Amino acid sequence: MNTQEQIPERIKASGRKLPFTVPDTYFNEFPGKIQARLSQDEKPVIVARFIHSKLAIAAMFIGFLALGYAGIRILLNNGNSDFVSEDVIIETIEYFSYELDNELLASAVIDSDIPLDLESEDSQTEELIQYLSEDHIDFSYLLNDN
Amino acid sequence: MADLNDSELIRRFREGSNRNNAFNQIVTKYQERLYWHIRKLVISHDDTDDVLQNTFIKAFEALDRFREDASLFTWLYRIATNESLSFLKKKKKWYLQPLGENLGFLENTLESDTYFSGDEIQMKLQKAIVRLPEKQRLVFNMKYFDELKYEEISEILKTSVGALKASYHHAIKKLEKYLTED
Repeated sequence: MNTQEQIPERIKASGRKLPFTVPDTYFNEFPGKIQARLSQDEKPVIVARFIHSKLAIAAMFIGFLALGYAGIRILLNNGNSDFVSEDVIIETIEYFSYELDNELLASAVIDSDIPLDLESEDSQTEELIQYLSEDHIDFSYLLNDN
Repeated sequence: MADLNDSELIRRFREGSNRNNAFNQIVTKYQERLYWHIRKLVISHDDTDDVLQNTFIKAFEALDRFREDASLFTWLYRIATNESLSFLKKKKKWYLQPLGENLGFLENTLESDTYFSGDEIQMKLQKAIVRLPEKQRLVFNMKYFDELKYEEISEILKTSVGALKASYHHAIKKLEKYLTED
């Protein structure tokens, strides 16, 4: 097979220049279009984040009760901290949301006095998710205990 | 403002303080090359505009995770290629055209394109190119029009150089045949 530039005459005849044009000011205006789209896309994200955050806090309580505080703390392996950050819990709940029992919400909200640090960011999230997602962990026993 | 190199632009983007400004410079720097790459695949200017916008939006969302093991341009080129192919896939479904079939609708697009500025011979070549199978068309465009090296194409398409050479060879043969027939 000859892979060198042996371009047949019929192809060569039309040259390498593309026979297309663009509207005159297209490339001057395009970066502005992207900026506009980026700022347009930002707004729903803010709203979505707000709603998501509220839902996530609700889910957090469900999850906490479902998993059991002691269970979470064991999984976190974080005996020295008094707080578990919101981010850690939100991601955990999202990850295992298909296993949560919605009926636990009311009692969870009423009964829960778990100390939560809703402000801080927790760098352990990824490790937690990774740890929880390992195949050898049987998550159901925690759920069934409640 | 002086042109900044890609690493510097990425650094500024990630710093966060001037994220949009840094990204704006990336857009300005690469928009034309990516535009022409996409245009050759989707043909119509309006469709190209949509795909190019989506390419940069995806890039904006993913730039924090870009590991810089390839050049920024290669990475953008890859996003643009994927966006173009998925656009064509959607369009094929729209036209109820079986996957793998030649893209008949692209010939129609070519004929109705108000931004086509070529002569009859160029139209003939473009029509022959859109009749190629997708992969061969992609490789032919990148090699013949963009004059990229096989190694560069290989990095963008994640395909071996040998396979690319074969695709290019087959594309040339088919184009020659199409042009002779018509």
